[in-house]
Amino acid sequence: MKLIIIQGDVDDPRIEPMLARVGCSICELRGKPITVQALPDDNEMVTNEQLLEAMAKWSHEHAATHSDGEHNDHEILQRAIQREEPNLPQLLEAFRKPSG
Amino acid sequence: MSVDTQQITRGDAVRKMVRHLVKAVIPAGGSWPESSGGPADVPPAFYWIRVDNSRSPAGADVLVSLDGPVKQAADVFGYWDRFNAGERRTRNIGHPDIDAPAKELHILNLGAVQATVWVELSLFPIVDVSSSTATKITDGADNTVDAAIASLAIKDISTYNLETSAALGASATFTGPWRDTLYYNWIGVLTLTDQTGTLLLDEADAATPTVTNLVATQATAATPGNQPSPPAAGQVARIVPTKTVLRFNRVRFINGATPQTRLNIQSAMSPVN
Repeated sequence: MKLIIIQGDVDDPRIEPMLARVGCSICELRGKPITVQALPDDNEMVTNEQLLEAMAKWSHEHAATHSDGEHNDHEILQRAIQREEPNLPQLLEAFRKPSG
Repeated sequence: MSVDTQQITRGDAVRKMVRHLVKAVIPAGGSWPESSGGPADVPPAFYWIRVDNSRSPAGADVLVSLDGPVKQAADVFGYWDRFNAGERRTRNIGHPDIDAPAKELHILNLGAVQATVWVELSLFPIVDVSSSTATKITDGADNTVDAAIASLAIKDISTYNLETSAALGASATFTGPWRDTLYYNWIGVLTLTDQTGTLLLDEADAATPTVTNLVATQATAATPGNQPSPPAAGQVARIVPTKTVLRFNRVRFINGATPQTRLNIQSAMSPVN
């Protein structure tokens, strides 16, 4: 099994469209989408569950590259997106600026 | 459908019966797995097989055997089915609870170039009606015929998909595969998890889309007090069955600020309302 990690969105042509994939919403909202897909190696037989678990493992590891503050800000932003809050453009703009 | 677990036990190991994927890369004129470094282990028991021979850069026809390596193309009794280049079909190979499941898989590449064949093995039905080249009931214009309920019983061919059960990290996104709804009218999605997040349903005109659209979005909410268990109380989001407009649909989920310890996303596609 191999993990394909690309700097591209979920519909990047390098991604198998008929298989699941994972990414990071923080990176996506900042305009640097990253997409990860687990695929069987050539001639390898794997379960769908193993592929999903490998991608989920990556998501936990990648989450550590963002601070707790970033994760909290992201959750607030997602709520604002969901509610279509009027100040959403400003929130998005602020979120996209690199912290520190 | 019940499954006799004794029947699917192999040797001293009891295999967990889930969907298996194989990317078989077969040298020109070679046999998989014998001559292509395939798995030394035998495949799991299976009743359904989906063979996708449409992804080789240069096409090559293949023969599939379920009971031993294919010796030669001329021996028509020496193989089970032929999948020509560009072909993609799903077949049932036995009757669960009556026939023994298939436990071997061999593929012979008839071409003069390397073939890459994706194979999906499952103990449970793989419904892939739209890509089947099998005979369909059609009218003179090749449209699927309409049938009145009074004259023909129509079985519900709804399919139920476990999208994922692997817990995500903080702020992670899960994107399920595009699902072809050519023969389905409705799609619905359910998520049960232990952390907050957002469930989304997308649609597209093709598996490799020209256009995509967000159909519905639903933030998770705490499960109500009288929610049944399992799982334990947590978060739930459900997108009610929605009429499909574009042909392909997929599920997405965006996790909140806390890593999940459990996640279960399921979708259902139904042909009738």
